[in-house]
Amino acid sequence: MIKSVLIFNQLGKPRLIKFYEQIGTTLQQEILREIHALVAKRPDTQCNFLEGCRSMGTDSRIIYRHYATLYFVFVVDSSESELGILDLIQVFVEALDRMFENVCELDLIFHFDEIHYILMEVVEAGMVIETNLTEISRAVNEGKQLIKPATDHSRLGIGALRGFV
Amino acid sequence: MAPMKGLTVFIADLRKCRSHEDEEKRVNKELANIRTKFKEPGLNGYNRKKYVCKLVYMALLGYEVSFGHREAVDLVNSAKYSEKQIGYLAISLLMEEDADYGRMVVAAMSRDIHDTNEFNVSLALNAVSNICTREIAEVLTQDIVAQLLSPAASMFIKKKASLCLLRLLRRYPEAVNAQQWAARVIPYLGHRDIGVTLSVASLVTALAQQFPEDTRKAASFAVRRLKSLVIDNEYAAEYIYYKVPAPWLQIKLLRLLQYFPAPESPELRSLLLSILRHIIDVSQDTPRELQQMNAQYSILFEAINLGIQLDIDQGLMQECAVLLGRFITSREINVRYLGLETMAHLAAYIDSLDTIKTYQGVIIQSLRDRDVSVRRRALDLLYSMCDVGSAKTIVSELLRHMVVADFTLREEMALKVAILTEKYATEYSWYVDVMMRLVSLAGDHMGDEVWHRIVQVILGNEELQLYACKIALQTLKAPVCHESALKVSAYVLGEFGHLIANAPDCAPVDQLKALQSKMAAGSQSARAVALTTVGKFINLFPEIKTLCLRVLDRYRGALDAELQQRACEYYALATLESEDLMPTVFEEMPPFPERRSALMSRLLKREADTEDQRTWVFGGREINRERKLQKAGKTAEDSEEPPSAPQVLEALEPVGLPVADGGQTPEELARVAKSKRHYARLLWENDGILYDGDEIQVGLVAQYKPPAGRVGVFLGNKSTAPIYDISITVTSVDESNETQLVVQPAAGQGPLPDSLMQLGQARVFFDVKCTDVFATAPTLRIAYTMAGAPTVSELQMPVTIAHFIDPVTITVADFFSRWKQLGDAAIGEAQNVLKTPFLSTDSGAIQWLRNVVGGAGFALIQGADAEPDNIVGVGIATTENAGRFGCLIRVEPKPAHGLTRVTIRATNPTVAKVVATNINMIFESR
Repeated sequence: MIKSVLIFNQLGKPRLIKFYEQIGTTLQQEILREIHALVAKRPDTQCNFLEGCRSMGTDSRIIYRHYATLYFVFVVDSSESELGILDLIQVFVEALDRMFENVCELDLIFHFDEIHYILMEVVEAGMVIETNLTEISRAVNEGKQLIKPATDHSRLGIGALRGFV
Repeated sequence: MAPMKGLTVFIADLRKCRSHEDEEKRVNKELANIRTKFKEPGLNGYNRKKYVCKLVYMALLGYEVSFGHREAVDLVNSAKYSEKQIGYLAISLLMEEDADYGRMVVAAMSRDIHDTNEFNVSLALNAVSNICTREIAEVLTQDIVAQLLSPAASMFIKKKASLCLLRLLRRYPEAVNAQQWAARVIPYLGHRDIGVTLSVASLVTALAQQFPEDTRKAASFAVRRLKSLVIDNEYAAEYIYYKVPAPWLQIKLLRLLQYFPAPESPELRSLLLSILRHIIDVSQDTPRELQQMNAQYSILFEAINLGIQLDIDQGLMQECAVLLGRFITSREINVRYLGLETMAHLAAYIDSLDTIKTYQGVIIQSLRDRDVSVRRRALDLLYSMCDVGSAKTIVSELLRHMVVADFTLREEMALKVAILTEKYATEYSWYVDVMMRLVSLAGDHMGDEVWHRIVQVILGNEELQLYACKIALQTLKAPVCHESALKVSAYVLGEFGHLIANAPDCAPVDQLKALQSKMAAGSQSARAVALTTVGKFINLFPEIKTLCLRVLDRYRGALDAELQQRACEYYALATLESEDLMPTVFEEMPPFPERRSALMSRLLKREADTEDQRTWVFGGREINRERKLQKAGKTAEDSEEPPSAPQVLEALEPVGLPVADGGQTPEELARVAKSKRHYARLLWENDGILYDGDEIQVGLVAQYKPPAGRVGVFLGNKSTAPIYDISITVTSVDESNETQLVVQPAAGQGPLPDSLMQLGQARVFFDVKCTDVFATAPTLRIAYTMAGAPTVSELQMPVTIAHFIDPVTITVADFFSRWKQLGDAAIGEAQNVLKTPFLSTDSGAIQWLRNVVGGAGFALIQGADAEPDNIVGVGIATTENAGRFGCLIRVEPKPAHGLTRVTIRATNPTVAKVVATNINMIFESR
């Protein structure tokens, strides 16, 4: 089972925190810090698997990928295939990339809710639910279609913000 | 989603903050703002959505958000999808399962699950898998099953429904009635939609572990589905991931099959074999592209795991061993890592380790890999592949590596070295040498289990003792001596020092001196052990008594209470006039009874924390075979001897090593005292805890209507790991009891759950009927398996003849005439004078005595006794066939002496005796 999906940057700033078990906010942040400390010191030449996150139970493994400024981390128990999860991270990132066209850290920051909606189509209840990119983006996009654009408020897009942030 | 301006600005604001303090200030300002907005009437949907969104963002940054739940529920109830979506997201991320507005959420979920818009259904299903309370499980399971099985539901919904069910099944196995629908889910494994099959395969994997009988058909579905993917190439093009067809489904199915025995039908068997062969053949060439290699190898590793697990073709396994040998030298580090891991699995099952042994050098090399993850896997593999032939090399390599190993790895290494050495030792000297070296090298990194175990082994093997003494003395004489080494040495010399007393430089004086030289620097616990050794020396070597007394004398003034007490007691013992007591107290310890090594339990505990059961554990073939046998034998009660002797919990933990001289550690004594206290309490109260251990807790609820009664037994899982194979039975210790006390499970209750998760509870009700007077309480037998280890606890069950006593009110005059009658007749009288020191210290003590007598079933007769504090009571025991027996009780407390006299007169001697024993026990354990 996938126990948790985390995205954070090199400094350990959280960009997505998703736990598939009930865990309090404080402990969540503690786990994030612990995993960041474990992962950030590993050079990219080392393998993508790691053990030893004390707060997540003795049988848990950390499987992670490092893309540019971001770490994508899945914490799983021993009933998952390591390489399978590694591929799943790739699928998740490719799905994000399709949604945001060249996804970057800023997209994750300003659309933190959408990242959750995309993840929901890839993982549910700690289990992989869909791996087909076409199907994932169909589900997310059709959900988006249901939202009528807000008419009574001026819309300020990300593009406008990129300038001054 | 259309961006919300306020939210975007807020996030941008936070990003501009230079310091954490700035950020905190901004967040607090916003929290105050949102609080006021939420209080204002007429907040529109858009704003509510915006503010809840901000709260979610703050929670992501780690700020505690303690409000806004109600607004999130409002959003869930909104008709607008965008608001509903955020509402559900906020609830999933912020809500706690025991929240009081949970009911409103359940209502919203059950409405949305039946919505015609499948996106609303999807949101609700998603929310259920995030926050599944028992109520949700009970209310919604049927609807979700219907969504999964209904022909009208889309693939999109079926996927979500099946994983949602999986979550509910794992959390509340007893609430979802899985047996009713398990068999109907299985055909979906053959569904043409790969997404549906993938989700259902996860669900079936969980079902297969709980209901192997009902899901037997799943194996053939899985094999055929694999064939269509691997051999027939039937799949939708979108599911090709870097040239590999649906790798996740392949992995899932290969994993699912590991929970079933190898197929019996020859057709299926050969089909499966050809699938495995096909997968292995495809992987002979290394793909060039990294992603493709990942995907392909992920399938390959799973296929090898399945092959190993089913044990269907040893030739194929040898081939795998060669393939894995190539992997562990691969330049690709992930492959190296997984190669080592899978080879450890292989080593746990393969008949001949020869192929694997040819890579021993490479594996030892991997212990020095730059990556700690790889080092860890190499350690596991070395542990799994060790046998008598290679033990010496492997152990010495591990010891050598111990010094430089990571701190995080050392404890595990130490445990593994200890286990391997014990298992494969062929020479006694080797065992002692290695273990002494181990405690010296890694003493700081291991628990007490290791040195306890060494002492146990030495005590149990006479041939070891002489050599162990020599080494112990040598260790003490060395310039430095580790704490744990000091404890072992002190213990061994205390027991067997006389064996070497005639050798040069080993005279009693030398032994004492060596001990003294290291004692001063030892910790409190080490000094305590050493003091006991000094006490033992007085007994072993009368010639150095004066010297020893001098040491003890010095510690009589020790600041530490434990040390002081030991010193004083030993000193007093040794200076007694009578010399009989000394040899009795310090008699040689008997060998420890054989039981499962605590080291093993500790190691296994590390691997017990996983949702799906592990199909194998690290460690040689024996332990995995044992696990297999246990799994196979769990349904057949009449299978031959259980693989490892079940343990009686009372005697089990911790590995009792006498810290003092009595043979029981303080913890053990405390444990026994505690369970006695629980038992005693249930002699006069109807419900309470009977046993409270580290793993389980047992509670009892009883109701009596003499001569019948009903007793409910509640079993709770206190550990973090699930327990399986639970059975709760009642047996009579005394054969003759069976007809006098009839105990039967109450009619109309369901079977026990197959497993208990953390904090889960199971219960059984028993009908009891007393047909005749009985003397011995029955035994409650609770058996279960945790982390592959079967455990049996036998507890005395507080059901005695005294429980079948009803109060009877009679006049004072009647009481005295009967009291006298019974006294004259001398049919059954029991009298005890009990120590009750609490009488003088506790003002409520007299009332407590009254409560006890009343609770034990007697009617109190007021004013019968001239002494107001005295208590007299009358009760009558009812049996079905032997009639009724009157029973009178008189309790005379004497606070001044701290004593209480209890007299019981009954028309049956056994009744009097049992009541007296019960009262005795109740007083004692107060």
